[in-house]
Amino acid sequence: MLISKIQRFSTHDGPGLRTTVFFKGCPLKCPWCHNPENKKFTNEIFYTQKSCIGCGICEKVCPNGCHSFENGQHVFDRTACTVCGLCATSCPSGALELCANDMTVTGVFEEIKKDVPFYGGNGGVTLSGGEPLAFKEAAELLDMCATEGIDCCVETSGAGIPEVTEKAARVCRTLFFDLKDGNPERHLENVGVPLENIVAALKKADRAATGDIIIRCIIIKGLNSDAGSYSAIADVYNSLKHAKALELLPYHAYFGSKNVQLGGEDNGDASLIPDAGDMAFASQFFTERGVNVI
Amino acid sequence: MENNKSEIKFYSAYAGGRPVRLSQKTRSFCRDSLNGRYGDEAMKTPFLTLDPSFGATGENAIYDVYDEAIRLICEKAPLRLCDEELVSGAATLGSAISAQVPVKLGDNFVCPSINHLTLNFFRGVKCGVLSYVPEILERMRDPELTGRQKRHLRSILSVIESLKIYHSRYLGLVREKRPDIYKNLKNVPLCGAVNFREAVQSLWFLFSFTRLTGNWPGIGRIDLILGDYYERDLARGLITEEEARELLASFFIKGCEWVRGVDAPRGSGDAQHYQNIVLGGTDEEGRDVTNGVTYLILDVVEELPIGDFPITVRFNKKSPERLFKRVAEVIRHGGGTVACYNEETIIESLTKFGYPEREAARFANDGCWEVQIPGCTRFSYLPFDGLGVLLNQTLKIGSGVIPVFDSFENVLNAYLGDLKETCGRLADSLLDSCLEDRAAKGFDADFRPQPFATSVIDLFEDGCIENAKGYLEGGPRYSVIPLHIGGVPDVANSLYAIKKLCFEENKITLEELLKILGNNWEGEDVLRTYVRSKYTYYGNDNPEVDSIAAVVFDSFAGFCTEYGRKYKLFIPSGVSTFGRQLEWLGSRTATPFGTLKGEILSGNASPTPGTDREGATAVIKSYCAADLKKQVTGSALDVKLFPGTVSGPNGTECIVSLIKGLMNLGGYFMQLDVTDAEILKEAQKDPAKYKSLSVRVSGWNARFVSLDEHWQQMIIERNEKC
Repeated sequence: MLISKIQRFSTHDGPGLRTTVFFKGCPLKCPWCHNPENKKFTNEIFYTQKSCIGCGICEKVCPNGCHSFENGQHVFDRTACTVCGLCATSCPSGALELCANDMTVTGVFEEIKKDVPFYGGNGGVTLSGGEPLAFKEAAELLDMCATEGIDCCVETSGAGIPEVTEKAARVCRTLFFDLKDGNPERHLENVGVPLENIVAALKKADRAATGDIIIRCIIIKGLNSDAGSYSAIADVYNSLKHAKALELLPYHAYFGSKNVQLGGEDNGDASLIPDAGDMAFASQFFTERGVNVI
Repeated sequence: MENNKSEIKFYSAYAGGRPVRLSQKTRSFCRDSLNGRYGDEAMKTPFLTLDPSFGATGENAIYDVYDEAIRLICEKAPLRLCDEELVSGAATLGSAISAQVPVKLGDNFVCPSINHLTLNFFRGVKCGVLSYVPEILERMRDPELTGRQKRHLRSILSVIESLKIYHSRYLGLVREKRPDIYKNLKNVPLCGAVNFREAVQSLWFLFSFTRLTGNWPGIGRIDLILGDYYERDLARGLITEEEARELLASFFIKGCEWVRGVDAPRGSGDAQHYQNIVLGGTDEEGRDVTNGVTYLILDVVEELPIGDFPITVRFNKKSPERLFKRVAEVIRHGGGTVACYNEETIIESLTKFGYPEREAARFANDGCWEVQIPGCTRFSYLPFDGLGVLLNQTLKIGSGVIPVFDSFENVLNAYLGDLKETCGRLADSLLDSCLEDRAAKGFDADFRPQPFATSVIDLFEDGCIENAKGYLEGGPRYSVIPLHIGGVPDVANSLYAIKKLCFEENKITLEELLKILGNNWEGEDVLRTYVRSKYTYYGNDNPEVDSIAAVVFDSFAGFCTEYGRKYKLFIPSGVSTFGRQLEWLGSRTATPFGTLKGEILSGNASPTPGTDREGATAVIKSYCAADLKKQVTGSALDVKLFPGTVSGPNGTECIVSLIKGLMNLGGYFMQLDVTDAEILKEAQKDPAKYKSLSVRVSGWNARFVSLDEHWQQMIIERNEKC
């Protein structure tokens, strides 16, 4: 499985001090994805132009002629790139990197175990991504952690493999579950799967859950920030047994920089950032419907 | 807490700001003090001058001069009484701020200052300074004493007489103006304190007296000294928590009286006056001493950004959860005011070295973090550059000679051989400079007599009266000068780069590498970039390099053990650089791990700046890979955290997790510092040093230096705003 990052000393991905594992690949296609390097299930080359020292090694090692230099400027033409990774391993500065490492479950588990002395009573591991539950190995990993007494949390978009999602619900202290839009048409159009599938997965997870579920909603100004959407989400929230809270996350445009590093456009859009009033509206709307907003 | 009601704001790295519990009067006193009002005032009278006709000759002249100087200070030093203060006494002579006994005879200061020690103020507070008098008089009856020894004891008596003069001047000042202070000061510090107010006044008066006379002592375990008084008075209804907090705040603010204003000359940033405080921990009976005073002091430094007194908290398995939590809550405001000791490692280290268990349990430090048995230890240390030994002695970089090594083991062993030789040479010269006739007398060799007296210190150092000897002459129960190694993380990184480049990947021979280093990596940008970006160095929990650091640390400790307690001057091992990595720049060349001549490298046992990429837990694990019990006086780790990382209630819990992790892994000392947007700006200017800096906005994360200016600016502004 492709793991883009194992971030130790994570302090915002669940209770206590945690190690967060980012899986590469997600079935959804949200254009506002905050970690776009984890959308594709295949590896990619991450290019950071400002780190390039112009040594020309990539040009020499690339079998497909993707790298060239024009007026001393590095030009990376990805059309023929097979992501063989030769340029990344040879690049002395790290300007060219593979987005992810192909790791085994045991390999990831060894990394997680490194910070066992720090986890204490509340900390542990959080699986994130991408969509971690789209990987059957995630179930195995959760079992290994549970056996060792390492606390587990998962951040999911609800588009995972059903059995793995159910396993996560059973094992996790907290399941962070995204609901990206309460409007079914928009959801299908932007996210790429029907809202009802996500809600069904959530309800199934709720039935299997032993811990808490925290619903996460991204607020994108003018795109999903209407009362109709909020109302639908509040209804779902109120139908759950294990929903502990709903977390409102304002859209931000920073992800655009990573799209550039992946060879795409900076598609961050500052006009979509909600202002304090938008956030207050959302918060009040949900609170009035009995939702515990955090 | 009425944060919004206070007009005085103190900076915090924590978005929630600092709580407000103290009165406006106390807060404005703090602001003025931190703005340098009293430090600048002290510079108006930097020193006093002995009458030029004063002449002292003969073998005891040093005591005659000293006694006269201390008496002069006590009779003539300006007195200060601030409207806002609740405890009185002040070190008002400016030269003491720069470590001088502030008295001149002719053009010269009469004697140097003593620092790097924690005095025994415990007895002075509990029993009063007059309790020493009969003991000294009794000791003077000993017919075996030499004339010098008798004169030395008389000098200590003279210090007490001078202190009485100074005390009566203060009583005269406060009698009418401040009857509240008069009541607390009347009997102390001459007699033992009987309540909390007297105890705090007594401790401050003794401490400020030692500073007034030019010394820089630490205070040590203040909650142990004051805790019983507080708990008793609180139970009897003699004082409230608020009153006690105001009193302790006054003590801390008075401690800033040497802070200079903005116009003062800038130096190395070495503004601290070693006035350390230690909180928490177990006593000789193994009981945890954490008490109400411990928490009140944490309240004070949470509210007021007072960095000097530096505080270190002794943590052990019995430490209350509340203590961990409160310390974490203070740490998140930034400034690194509160650091942590892992008691288990330290007590075991001290007992292994040979201190009795009850002595080991009492440990405090010398004003930074080097551990000592307080109130009975003469202390200083001899630092040296472990990286300099590698670059200059072993690898001979830039000397024109290229040494030949056919394996990595040979390089490592040659380095350890050079390190051993260096330790031996330094220890021998240290012993010979302190002890007389060491070669012939061995353990019986005595300390050399000194050309100046230290009687103020001797009064508060157990052993000086009993042995009738001065602080530097073998008076205290223990005399300790450890060797302190610096630059070991850089050594480990250098050796690791050599191992990978020259003996595993065979990208280049060692001879070629040494030539390149002799040329300061000139024309070798690609290779240099490679070693900088592709290898995982100390501070990232990489056993391959951490094991090299551990071998160097442990071997160094072993070389010191050969001296250890062999003579009356103990030579244990410790790890430190403080700011010395700056002084060492001149003698350091380029390193094998890609740094150029002149780059500032590792401090203490912390990773080389810019090489730690895996976060705080990995830094702590690298540090704990060595057997830290072997570093008797200590090994310090500095960890930087970003405010966003430790914001909110979970942030506090994560700080606690780092402290407990350090304890689980056998760490020794750790300072956690929370830095802010300013650091991001620095990272923007100097990305090479901040490669590891991750920024985080909810689910999104990226390495800061990989962002372009536009993005970086956004993040900076975001951090500035929160």
